[in-house]
Amino acid sequence: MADENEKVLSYGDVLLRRGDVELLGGPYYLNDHIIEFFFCYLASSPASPSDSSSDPVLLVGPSITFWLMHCPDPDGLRAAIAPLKLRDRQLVLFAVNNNEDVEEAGGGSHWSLLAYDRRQNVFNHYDSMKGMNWRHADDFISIVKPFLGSKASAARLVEPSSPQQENGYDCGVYVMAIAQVLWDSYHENMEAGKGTQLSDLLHNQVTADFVSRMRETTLELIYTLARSQ
Amino acid sequence: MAGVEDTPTSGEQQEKKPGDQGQHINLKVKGQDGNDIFFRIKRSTQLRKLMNAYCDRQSIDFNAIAFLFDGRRLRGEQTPDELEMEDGDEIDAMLHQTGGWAF
Repeated sequence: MADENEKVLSYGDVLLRRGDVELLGGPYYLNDHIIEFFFCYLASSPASPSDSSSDPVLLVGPSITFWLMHCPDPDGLRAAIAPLKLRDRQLVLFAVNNNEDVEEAGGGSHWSLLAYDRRQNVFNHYDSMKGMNWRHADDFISIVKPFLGSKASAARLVEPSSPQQENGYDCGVYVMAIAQVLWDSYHENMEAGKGTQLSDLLHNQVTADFVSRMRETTLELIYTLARSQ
Repeated sequence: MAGVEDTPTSGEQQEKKPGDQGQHINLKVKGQDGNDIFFRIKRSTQLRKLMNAYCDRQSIDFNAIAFLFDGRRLRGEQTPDELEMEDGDEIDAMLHQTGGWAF
């Protein structure tokens, strides 16, 4: 049996081991490593300016999001959030987890995607199990609002119509798929932000079939990148 | 303060300059429980050593923890020099998460 700690791919700030990658191969929960990797990969795509610190769109992976959400003290929060330069971003995507026990390894059971859209000054919460992570997203926006600029204090949290998972294990893949659609649509049409169109786009693209295939394509992507290293 | 033992490598030998006062750096690792542990480490040493030492002290598996610095995840092979860390800088340590759907 393959060693689950065997290193498969080092990409950006993420190290993927056999045990992480294998989560994509079956009906398993995704961990933060995989989502972190996918966000890194999206952010490195050609649509993005070479210097990510100036990209109007920022993908905040699970680890940073979780740290901000449960930061033990205000000074630490300020220090951790400053490098993200949130005030300069037009669209910020956060991978939200419902874990509440910071001392539990591998904690949590549900992922969702929270997007602050400055063009509409709104927090859109995309949850593949509608309502499940609402409270976590609501708690989180009260933490990040002060760092998003003065206008953001009036931004509301809404849950737009979002593709829904049909099984008990794919929420992490939905987070990746929806992030990809939001990322692509922003970079393809800078003047977008039309809610209904985006919702159509999400429902047309992020189908159960697409999500199921995304496990395979992400697996292939990881092995292709690993081979080229 | 916990010391991180350094094993000199050829790379480090090359970087040694006579009279280099700032060869070591004090770093604070803050856990999500709010507890801090301080480490002293050579600027040219890979942070993996600090990470391993932290995990040993906390009795946690190395793979269960993510280390964050300056808004990014740390990689074990990075060094304080490379990251332009300053004396007293803080590294945040947190456990990994998972999810599929809450039952």
